[in-house]
Order: sequence, then structure tokens, then C-alpha cells
Amino acid sequence: MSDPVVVVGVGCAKFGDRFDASYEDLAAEAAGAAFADAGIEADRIDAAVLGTYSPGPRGGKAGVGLADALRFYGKPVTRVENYCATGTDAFRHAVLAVASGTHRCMLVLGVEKMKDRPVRGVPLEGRHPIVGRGATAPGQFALAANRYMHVYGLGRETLAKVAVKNHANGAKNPLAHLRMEVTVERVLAAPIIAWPFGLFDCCPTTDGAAAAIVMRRSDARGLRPDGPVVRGFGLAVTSGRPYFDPGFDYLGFPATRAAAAQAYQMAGIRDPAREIDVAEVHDCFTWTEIANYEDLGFCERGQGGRFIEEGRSGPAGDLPVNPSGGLKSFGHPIGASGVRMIYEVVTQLRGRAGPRQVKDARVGLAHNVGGPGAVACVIVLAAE
Amino acid sequence: MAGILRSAVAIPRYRLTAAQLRDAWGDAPAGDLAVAFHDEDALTLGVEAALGAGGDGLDGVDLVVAATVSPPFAERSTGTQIAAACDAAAPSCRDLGGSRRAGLGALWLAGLAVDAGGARRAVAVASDARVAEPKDPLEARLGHGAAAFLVGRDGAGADVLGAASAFADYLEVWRVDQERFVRGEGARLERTEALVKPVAAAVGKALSAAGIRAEKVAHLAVGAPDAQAAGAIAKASGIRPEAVVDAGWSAVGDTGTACAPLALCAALAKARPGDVVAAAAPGDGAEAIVLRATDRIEAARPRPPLDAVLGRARPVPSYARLLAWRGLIASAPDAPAVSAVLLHQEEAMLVRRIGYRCEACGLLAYPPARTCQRCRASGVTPHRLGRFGAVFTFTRDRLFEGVEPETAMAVVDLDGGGRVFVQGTDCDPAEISVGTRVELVYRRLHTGGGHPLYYWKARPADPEDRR
Repeated sequence: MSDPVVVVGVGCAKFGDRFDASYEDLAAEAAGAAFADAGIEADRIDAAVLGTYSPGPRGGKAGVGLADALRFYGKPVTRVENYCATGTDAFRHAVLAVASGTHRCMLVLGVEKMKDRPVRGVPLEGRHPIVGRGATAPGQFALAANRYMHVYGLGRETLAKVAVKNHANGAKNPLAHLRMEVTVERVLAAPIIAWPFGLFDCCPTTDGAAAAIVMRRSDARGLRPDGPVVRGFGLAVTSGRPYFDPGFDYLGFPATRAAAAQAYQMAGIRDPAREIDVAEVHDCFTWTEIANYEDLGFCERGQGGRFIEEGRSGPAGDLPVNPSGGLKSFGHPIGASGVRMIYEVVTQLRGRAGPRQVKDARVGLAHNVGGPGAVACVIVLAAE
Repeated sequence: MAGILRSAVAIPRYRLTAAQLRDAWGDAPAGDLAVAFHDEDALTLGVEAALGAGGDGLDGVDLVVAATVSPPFAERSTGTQIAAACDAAAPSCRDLGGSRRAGLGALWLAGLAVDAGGARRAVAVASDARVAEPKDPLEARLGHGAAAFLVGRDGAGADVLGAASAFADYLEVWRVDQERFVRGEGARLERTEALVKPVAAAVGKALSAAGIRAEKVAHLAVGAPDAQAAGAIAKASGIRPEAVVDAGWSAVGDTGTACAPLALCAALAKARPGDVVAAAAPGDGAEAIVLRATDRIEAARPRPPLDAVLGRARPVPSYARLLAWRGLIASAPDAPAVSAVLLHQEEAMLVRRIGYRCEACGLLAYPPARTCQRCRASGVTPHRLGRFGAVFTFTRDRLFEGVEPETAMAVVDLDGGGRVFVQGTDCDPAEISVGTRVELVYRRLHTGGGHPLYYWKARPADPEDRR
């Protein structure tokens, strides 16, 4: 792109059990941080995208959650919801609108308030009331994990290493939800949620919000010079009923592969394992991160277990994954997560990630997968 | 002459054992009781038995007679729901109830309809899962189960020779409107007035209608509450005491309308060609049917074999868990209502297990669709999925708020094609993993909008279940 889209500012609310804050409080916290980070006034925003999976009692299934939180009235606000890919897809929509020249300065806001609901885990909306009754988010990913572990002979110990790595990363991150390290023994001894996932194989239920501001480079003159550019993006939607597809092997997610192929083609990436320096991927459950290594082309199919075992995705590895702590430690407020990943990748590419900084990070990737496997979104950012 | 072409039984796998009951209340009951799992009831047991007798689709069946005194829906036909879950075309459906003799009454009505030319083939099914109040002496007597018969005119394994009923109005067991529990007074007089006298009278009348002398009866299949009562009935009827068939008194319990039909299945299991079988059921009077085994009796023996069914019994995890299964202590929360319009739209898929076959690429898949999932061709035709298959992958979910602390979920590749995603049942969830052979069974899924909803679940299959 001759006039690429630049991320001029990012902001992130403190993730966690935000019993002190409402949905709108979290939205304002993240957006305010992004305005300050970009060094712009809120009035400069001419359109916004709100990524929210379940707006709850203060939201409404519309753009009003953002409009009321920021008193952002009379301007375009589009609400995006695409399972767990909601955040990155919201970002993608803003990039498209800015790149088209329709809008000049767009706010992407991902918000989710999950701790004020009467249900455990993710509220399952729009599900068939009979077919799939009994399916939960961990249970659905566990179907894939169990098949994968059966085919490739993986044990729970290997899965646990993802939790150990991401908790160690998150412990260094002041905004993360679960800021404590865990050991393989502790992960394995935790109560089972949905076999093979124990408590520490699962991301927590978290309140949070994150924001990003995008502009074309030509419009961003005079703003901070270290904003990474959007090099590529991809979104793929496959069947929302993968469990009825007799051809689905449950060894990974075709949606991720398709979204990555789109993003890599746009970004001109041929060898992701070598060309990507840092990645924030969707580790909703430990096994998911292992599948992501393969689906994103970081390693061959079936080699995801080795990839974590050999430390290649660790902070000192050749492709550090989830230096933020990931969904596992940072938390997973659905709609906020993808935008939070953008926040982390931008921070890394600016070289301002402090104790968790990945050395010489020039190209970064953010990835969401939801459904499970029904939707995936991949964003590639690069330092200028 | 109408007769029984095939027969089948359905008995829950779980047992409330005599030892468990003794631990709970200190009494020493006569034996174990077959008790419905949390997702079983008179409808699901009836479906299982009807499928066993009539097969998927109930081919050629134009009448379904369903008997139960514990229907999950007091108003809404049990027979119609059984027929739908069997994917029957559009049979005439009749429901019987009122007292436990309705089980044999269903068989009598089916035979009558076939004899009168009102039906070519009929399925008579009797099923019950009656609940007594915990600690009530009746609790130690009531078991759950079902039996079904495919009735037709030609080539029967047991011909109906005669039938009769007897009148008695004695307050023996009852359940009043809006009451959950079956009650009984248990006075000694009921032995003579409600059991022995009416049953012996009905048997006597049926034998004379058939022109058969009592001593010629080789098997007396009587739905009596225990062996002692059955012996007294045999004596009063002039039937040899050795003829009394064990109706599962010590392994299953009194299964209500299914009690005499299950005893009849036990008789069919061992009858030799030419044997006379007298079946009799008490219940506000009595019902009796006299049959003679033919040289085709082999085809009419119950399937799966009774020994196999009884052999896979397992104790309930605990008495407390059993109470939770019955909803008598805090259990799973109710779910929201499901629109009757949606249930109607998706009846083929949800109740009849209909998927599609692609004319272009041959894929068999689920649920029904307009276009093929694999090749996107639009030439797809509805196709009923099989009931047996193997687990492709699974999980054991503790987050889902089901009745049990852990719910098995399975993706099942069905024999012949098609993949479904269902809950596991009838086992410890750990028994379901990659490769486990399973059978789909129609089960209660949950209560939503104030009534039960049903769907298919996977239970580990035994080789003898395959037919």
C-alpha cells in the first residue's frame, strides 16, 4: 500500500475481576488511554467500531455501548460480533474503512464485561437449544484436543507447558489478569474443567477493554512516528457446526489456515516462521496455542507439541508467542481480546514492552479463532 | 389369527440394589430394582422397546398402542411420540393407561385390530418408570422398564388363542392428579381381592375362550409383585406351579404396565413350539391373554436377549444421586422454552434422525440441508441415519450444568455415514473415548419451558445390541 494504514495509538484497561467498573467505565478507560497514547483529542475520531460479543445489561446489540460510554454521538459506530474473532475483526473493519478513504481517523474499541453475568464462563447465545446441548467453550475445544492428543500421542504435560510459559509472561505484565507463575505440577493437579483441560489449561473469565486508533499514514503526519503499519489481514468463516462435518479431522482449524493465507499473501510473507518476530495468538486453552503454531505455519502439522517443548515460542525462542501472557494469563474478555492483542503487538513493535520486550521485533502477528474453528482472523503489523 | 412376530425389552442399566436401600432405610428389601437413569422415563424406555420390536421406521406398522401409567406428559400422546422417534410413517396411535393391566391391554388391542383388519401390523408397547416417595414401602418394590411386541397375522412366533378381562374395584395402588408419587395401602386383603381373585378369573375366562385346559399351560407370565403372589395365582387358576415365569422380581422390580409384558417376554424366551403361554396382569381387575408358541418362536424371542439385558446392570452411584436424578434434591436448572414452531420445523432432524444423502458425491451427513456440505451440489435427499457408530472424539465436561457432575460429549461417526454430536449416557463418562462403539438412544435432554425435551444420546454399545 502506497499510503498504508498506521496504528497511531493504543490503550488497554486493566484486565481482571473488575467488580469496581461497569462496561462503560472499561470502555472509557481503554479509549482514554488510546487517545493519550496517540496524542489526539477524542473529537478527531470520525467513526468507530465496537467489538463486543455480549454487551450485557448496559450495552444493547448495537453501537450504543460505545456511543454512551464515550458520549460519541451522531457519528458512525458499527458493532462487530464474530465469536472470539470479534476484536481482530473489529480492527479489520476500521482498517478497511480508513484505507478506503471514507473515514480519516477511526477508533476500534473492544469491550467485554463477563463477571456480572449469572452464568459460568461464556454466555452461549444463539445456540441451538437441543443440538449440541451440553457443549461449553472448553468442552468444544476439548473435542479437538482429545482427537489431536489421540492422533499425535501428546500428553497433558505438553499442554501444561503452554500454561507455564504464558503465566510466566503475564506475571511481568501489569495489566494482565492472572499475574502469577505456575508449574507443570500445579497445572496437572488442578481440577478438571473439560477433559483434558484442567483449570490452568483454560483462560480465565475476565473483564476488560482495549482500544486502537488507525489512520492512513498521510493523515497521521505530526503524530507519534513509531506507529506500526498494517501489512496484511485475513478473515475466514467456516461452518459453525464443525461437529457435523464428516471430513473435519479435529487436528487444527481450517479457518485459521485460510485467514493466515489471506494475511500472508497481502503482507508478502512466504515463510512465517522466519519472517514473523512476535505473535499474539488465541490461547483460549493450552492446546489451542499448540494447534495455532501449526495452522499459522510456525511449524509443520503435528509438530506443535515439539514447538512448545523445545521452547521455540518462549521469550528466548526464535518466535516468541504471547509475550503479553496471552488469553491464558492476560485474560479473555471476548470482544476485547483481539484489540488487546493489537495493543501488545504495537507495543512490542515500538520496542516499549519493558521486561517482556521481544528483541528486534519488526513484524508482529495477532490471531483470534472462535467457534471453535468457525471463525478466525489474522492481522500482520510491521514497524516502519 | 393375530400373533407376536417379534418382541423386545428395555430395562434401565442402573440398579438400586437391595444393599443400597438397606443402607438408606434399614429395611431389607426382596431384591434389586431397575431404575431409570436421570434421562430415562416411560417415553424413552418405550422408544427403546418399540425400536427393538419394530425396527427403525417401524416398517409396515400402521398401529401403535402405547400403555403407561407414568407418562412424562399427562396430556400429549406417548404413542405418537414413540412412533415419531421410531421414524414411523404415520401410524394410527392409541394410548392406554389408568392401571397397570393396560400393558397387556395394549397387546390385546393390537391383536384385536389386526384380527379385525384394522391394522396389518401393530406395535404394542408398555413402559413405566413409576416413582414412590422415598422411604415409602412401595419404593422397595417399584422398578422401571418396557416391553414391546410386533403383532401381525402371518408367520407369528406365538399365536393369540384367547383373551379376557376381569372386574375388580379395589383401592390397591393409585396416584392422584398432580401427585408425583404412586401410593398403596399394602393391606393383606389386596392380595386376594386385587390380585389373586381377578387374575385367576381373567386367566380362567381366557383359557375357556381359547378352549385350553389350565393344566396345559406351560408358562404362566403374570405381572404379580412377587413370586409368592404369582404362585398363589397359579394355584387359584389350576396351573402347575412350575409354569410360573420369573418376571424379574428380584432383579428389576414391579414395572407397572410393563410387568406382565416383561414376564411374557421371559416366557417367549424359553417357550418351545406348541407350548401354551398364559399372560396375565392385575390392576383394577385383570387382563389375560393365552398364546401358543409356533415353530417360528425363534423370531419372536425378545431382543436383545433377556440375560444380556439383565447382565449389564450396574448399581446407582449412590442413593443421594438417585434422588437427584428424580429431581427430589437440588439438580440441574431448567432451561428456557423451545418454540413449538422450531420443534415442528426440525422434527425430522431432532426426533427422526434424518440427515441427507448427496446424489452427486454420495456424502451422508447431518442435519438435513438444501446443499451438500462437501460438494455443494443441491441434489440432496433426506436420509435416516443409523443408530450405531464409533466415537471420533469426546470430552468429559464439568462446566456444563447437567444433572450429573460430569457430562460426556461425543462426536460419533455412524456406521454407513453421518456424524453427530451428542451427550453420552448410561455410563461413567470415562467409558467414552476415541473409538468407543456406541448406540444412539432417545433420551430426555432437559426440561425447558415446563416440559421435557428429548434428543439422541450415545451409550456404549454391547455386541448383542446390534441387529
